[in-house]
Amino acid sequence: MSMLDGDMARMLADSVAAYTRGPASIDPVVEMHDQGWLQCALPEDIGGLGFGPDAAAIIAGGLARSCRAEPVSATYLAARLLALVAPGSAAARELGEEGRTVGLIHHGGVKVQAARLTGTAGHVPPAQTYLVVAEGALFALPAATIKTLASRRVDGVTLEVATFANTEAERIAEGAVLEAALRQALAETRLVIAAELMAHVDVMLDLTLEHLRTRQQFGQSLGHFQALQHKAVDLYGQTLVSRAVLDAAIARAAEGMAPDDLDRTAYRARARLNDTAMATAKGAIQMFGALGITEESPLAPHIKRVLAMVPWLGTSVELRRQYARLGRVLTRSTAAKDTAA
Amino acid sequence: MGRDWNAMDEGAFRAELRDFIARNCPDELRHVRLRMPPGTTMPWYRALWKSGMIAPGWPEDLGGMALTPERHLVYIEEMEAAGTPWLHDSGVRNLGPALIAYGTEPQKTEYLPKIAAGEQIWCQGYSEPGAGSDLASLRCAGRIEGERMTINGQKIWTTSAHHASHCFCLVRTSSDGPKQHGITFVLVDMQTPGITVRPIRNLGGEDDFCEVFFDDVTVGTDCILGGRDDGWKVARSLLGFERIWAGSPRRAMKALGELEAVVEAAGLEDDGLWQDRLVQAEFDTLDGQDLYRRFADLVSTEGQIGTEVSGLKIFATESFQKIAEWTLEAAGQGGVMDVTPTPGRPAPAFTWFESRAPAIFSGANEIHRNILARRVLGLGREGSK
Repeated sequence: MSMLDGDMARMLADSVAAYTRGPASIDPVVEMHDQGWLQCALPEDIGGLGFGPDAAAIIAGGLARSCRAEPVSATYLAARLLALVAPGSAAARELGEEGRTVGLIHHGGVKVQAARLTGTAGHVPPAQTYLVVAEGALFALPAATIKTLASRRVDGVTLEVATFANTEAERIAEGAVLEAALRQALAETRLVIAAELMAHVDVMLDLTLEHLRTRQQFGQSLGHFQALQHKAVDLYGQTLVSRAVLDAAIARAAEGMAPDDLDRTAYRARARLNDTAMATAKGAIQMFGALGITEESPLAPHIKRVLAMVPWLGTSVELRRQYARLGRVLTRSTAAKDTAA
Repeated sequence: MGRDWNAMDEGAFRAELRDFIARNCPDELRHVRLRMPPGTTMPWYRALWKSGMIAPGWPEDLGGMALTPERHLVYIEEMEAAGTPWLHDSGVRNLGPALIAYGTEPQKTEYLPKIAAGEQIWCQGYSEPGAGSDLASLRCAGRIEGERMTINGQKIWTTSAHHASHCFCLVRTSSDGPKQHGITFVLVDMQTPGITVRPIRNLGGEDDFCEVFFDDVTVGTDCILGGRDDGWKVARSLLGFERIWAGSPRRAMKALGELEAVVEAAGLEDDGLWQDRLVQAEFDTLDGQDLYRRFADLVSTEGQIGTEVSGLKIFATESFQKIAEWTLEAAGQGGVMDVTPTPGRPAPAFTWFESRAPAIFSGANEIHRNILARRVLGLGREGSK
């Protein structure tokens, strides 16, 4: 994996921005694959870009500004795991070279018996190849071989309930290596999702400020009222903190961190972005007034996407619980140790 | 010539600070929450001065450490962790940067070395009974005749005026034009006849801020800093530094340690609610550190502080308040007994009192919200129908 330098980061951001200015595409997955964005985490020799979370954050964040980031984060999770444990697998090659989408199922009660899978998993992103983590091993199988039941998430994305009935699958990785890679891929993906949330926050706040500047009531713009000014400033303040936290977290993650530190960084950044995104969604609706609760408001797709993203890989409460289990760092015991050292 | 503190490895810098503190800051001055008089803390102040470490932000040729803002934060962290005492260093922190930016050569030569050596203790005479948040409405008058200025009026909330040897003040020297014009920044010796100081006791039981009365106090016009009627720009430049200082995560960090101690003492460490609050407090502190570092980096690269720094001040002070509120809640009835703090023991009510002030001084947080709304977000400036 290579870190982006400033020029590469700008070029990538510019190309994503140029793409989002174009018309909505009929088949975004094909286009994102052509650009290399979908498989950016895969090694270059199989059609990837060899990038890490910093690049994925730019891609997801840039696309999210026009609500076109699906399925970047979900694919990053699967592709990053493949890059770490099975870069030579058919699943990796097919994603890199042909753009066959890959989805990761890492939760739920799928059982393994003689390389056959049995069980059910919910909230599965639609994909052509599934990767399944079950009983300490990673399996790959074509999505067409299993039964799925689709339902629509609030942001319009279809998620599946996948049922495995003694389904044959290829074992492509296992053991401690897999466990460590899964942990890393999940942490990095939390940061990529955080970057996506940041973009929605920026757009919602811009739309709200524009509304406050132009909407006239009582003979003046809404922006003249101090109550609304302070509401807007509080949202702005949260964006300042969120961006500082996110940028620092992604820079540290891209440089490489010890697993515990990476988890802590990702939990904290995600919790901050979750909270800011929800606060901005609520604040934007309130300041837009009745317009804010309509389907045709420009806020609507961003609000729905935020609602969809926030619970994925951890609500703030869940992230804080996991952080507490891992252990806080600013404790009196560590301070005492530092002083003694 | 001093040393290049920024070139040192961070670990080595920390180690050297710790070693220096261990050797020079007496135990009886450590972890004392109440502000001690300058006579008590002066040996520590002088030790810092003698080693060239009293002025972390000043340039090297003026006796400072020339620390980058990032390094400056490390300096603050180490001082806080070791429980070094609050110092009467407003001259170093507040006046110093303004003198360096706007002072004449004779002023710099006269004041900076004495500030660094602790021979002069400065207080800040800004607020007045009728000019708090609306500071530019100040009325304390400076009448200039020839080479002399005569000051009449009153200042209030002047921290440590009763210990100060000098006061930097804003006085009105003209009432023409907008109210920000006609304000002059003046350096006053507190021994000048006509000055009366009256301490005011705060909720925490300290009497560290004061009223200062000026009755026909006469100083030379060579005491004016930054030009006659042009003091607002000096005061504003100084506020930028003060806001970075007000926005450092040091208070939240300290309060988090106290929250943890109180939660443990109350036997609540396995309680889900309090575990969650401890993590929230840690997140706010670390997030505040990320935000502080972003502003510190901006100062390093651009050499100035943007209006956005108001957001840092709001975040840091309100995070501190939230943690202090939780600490008081975790302590229950025990938290409101024996309010005066003793070293090494939590003092939740004292901390709660202490946490109210930073959201008020250096511009009340509501003033900062107004500034951000108008100047950064561009709200309320459009023409009305």
